[in-house]
Amino acid sequence: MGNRIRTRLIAVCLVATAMAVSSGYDPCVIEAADSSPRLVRIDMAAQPPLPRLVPISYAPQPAAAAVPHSLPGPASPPLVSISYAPAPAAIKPLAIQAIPTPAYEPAPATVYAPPASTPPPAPAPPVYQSAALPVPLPVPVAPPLPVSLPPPLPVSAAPSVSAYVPLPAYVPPPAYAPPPAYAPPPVTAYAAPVPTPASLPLPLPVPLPVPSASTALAPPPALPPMPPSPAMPSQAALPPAPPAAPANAPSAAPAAAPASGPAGGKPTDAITICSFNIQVFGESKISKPQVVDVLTKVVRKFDIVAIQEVRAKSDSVIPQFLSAINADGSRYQFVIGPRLGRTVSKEQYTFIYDSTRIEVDPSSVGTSPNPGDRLHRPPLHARFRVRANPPESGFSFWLVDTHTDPDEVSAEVNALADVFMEMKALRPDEDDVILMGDLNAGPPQFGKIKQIPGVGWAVSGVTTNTRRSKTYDNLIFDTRTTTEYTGRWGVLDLQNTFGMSIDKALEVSDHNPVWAAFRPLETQQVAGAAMPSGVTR
Amino acid sequence: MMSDATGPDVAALSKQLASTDAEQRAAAAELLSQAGEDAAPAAVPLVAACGDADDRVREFAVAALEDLGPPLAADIPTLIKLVDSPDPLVAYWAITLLGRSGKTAAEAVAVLVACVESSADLSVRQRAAWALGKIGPAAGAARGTLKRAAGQGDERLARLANEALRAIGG
Repeated sequence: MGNRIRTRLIAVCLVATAMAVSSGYDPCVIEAADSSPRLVRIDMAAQPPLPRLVPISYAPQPAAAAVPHSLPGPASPPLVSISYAPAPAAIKPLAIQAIPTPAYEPAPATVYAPPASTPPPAPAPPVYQSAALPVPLPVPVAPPLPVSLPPPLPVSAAPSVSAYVPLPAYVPPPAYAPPPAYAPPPVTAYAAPVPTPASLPLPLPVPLPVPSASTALAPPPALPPMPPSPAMPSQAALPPAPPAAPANAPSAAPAAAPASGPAGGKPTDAITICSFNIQVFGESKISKPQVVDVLTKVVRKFDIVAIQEVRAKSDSVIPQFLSAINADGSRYQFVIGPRLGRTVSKEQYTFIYDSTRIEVDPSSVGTSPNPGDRLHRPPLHARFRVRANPPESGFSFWLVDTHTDPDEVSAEVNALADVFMEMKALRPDEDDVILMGDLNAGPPQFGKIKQIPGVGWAVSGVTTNTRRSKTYDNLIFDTRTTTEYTGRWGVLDLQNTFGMSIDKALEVSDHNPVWAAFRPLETQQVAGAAMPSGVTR
Repeated sequence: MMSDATGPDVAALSKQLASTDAEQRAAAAELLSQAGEDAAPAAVPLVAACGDADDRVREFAVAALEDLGPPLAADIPTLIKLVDSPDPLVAYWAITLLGRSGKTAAEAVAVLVACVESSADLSVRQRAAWALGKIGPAAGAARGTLKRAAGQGDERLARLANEALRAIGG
């Protein structure tokens, strides 16, 4: 073969290879079943990518046709099975019986920061009525609420977004407890204006310090520590933590609504976390100024608000809402989950938080696992931390936002017990999980949740819907580990607080916000502490 | 159409749901979504509104249906007819209300069985299996269908079918 012919053949091969690559075929795999080499396509769709946090491997199940299927109807989607390596010895098994801990894959964070704007002059402080119930605080940790709100902090006093110090990245354990098969739900990617925090490079994988050993650990590297908010105390300024109050002790009574307004008006000794089902929160509701006015005032009272029932075709509802909230100079931000639901009618969860006092780990935001498809709308979870000095001393915690299907409450509540334990086990360096939302159930219907050792709930003995007939909303956590709970909680009665008729209150929502207060700094963990009296298991 | 003393005028709002004006329909559905269990007499028009072309009407209708509890017994025959709607959301909510009716909806067993067997929408098949369980022993004729559904590949349908079989007994 002459050199010219050889050169032409090589050129032909190179062109064929380039064409194969451009058309999605891998030229490296060649079948030699016959004399003429053929290119074979590698089907990457059958090999899902490995999740980032949990080392799992997927194996495609047999096709749906292989499953006994005698009924007509649409073919079921192919399932995937998940296998796990043995659990590491370093992770201590939880003392609960047979609660599976399914695999977890966090969804991409959608973190929104409002565009920079000059805050308008501070509005006159609104006059609020306190909640209808008396205010015997079981743990007197809060100073009396101010009669009038202090003026808002100047913008320059609030920590800049660019000063954000992300939570230390999580170092995934080498293995995880064997869960049942789990197919992570799809997560909607948003093109929301991403703030600086989300665009910061992830820090080096340094686990959060164990509270008892915090003095021996170095702060997260790469970024300088964030200066604390003027509103938040430093480690030295905080008095010793009182014993944790049982969340659902009979003596616990709801407190009045916390102080409201820009960050300067909030308590300095606690952060307040609220759950609020804003019924059908969509384009119709956001277009009603009187409704938005009430909703913004509600949000400004709290450090974090977990919202259920965002129902909107557009992605602009929550950004619009945030603009209204921040119109007084506040600096709230939000994270939002995907649209969820079994029918075309879908809902989203969102967390709205005061970024001057709270930070979120963008990589932690995701939709919780839903093994067995037991949850109509699997919860949205995210990990937050109170801004403090040093940053790692701030109270950090998972929030799990949920809204059960009212027709399958029993099964869903039991599934949420599994989600709670999953979240507890997700990070060995994070023992605080607060499951919150519209459970469509009161404590008597908590089922498997009540079997979780140490579990407690904030709201008890009062109604939480606007019609004052049902106890549907709550905050649930492990009272043995979430010792930051102050024992203060409440239901913000929309009618009483804003002086509205029942009709006007129902225009805002058919649920009242419920809230609980937590100390801003990590407290000593009480591992294995006895259950407080009055706590129902 | 809402007042503190008398509550919403559900009958008038039900008629308004059939208005040719989408704004009127959306306003009616929104008011009914605020009525809680008082909206039960509007169950049928609300289920029909789940097939409305306007998103707002559908979303508020769903919100109203979530909270209104079981429908009136007199509405069950109409709800049975709505199960056959080509709109999956209409069928889903008709089935849900039949399930909430429990044994009162025993006459719906045949149409629910047909749903489990042949609906093209998985959420409708699942909900029909759930509703048969809520009807309980009166749904004995559904045992064979539910056993076959319990052996199918969809995990949720299988679980609901098994739960229904336990509720039906025998």
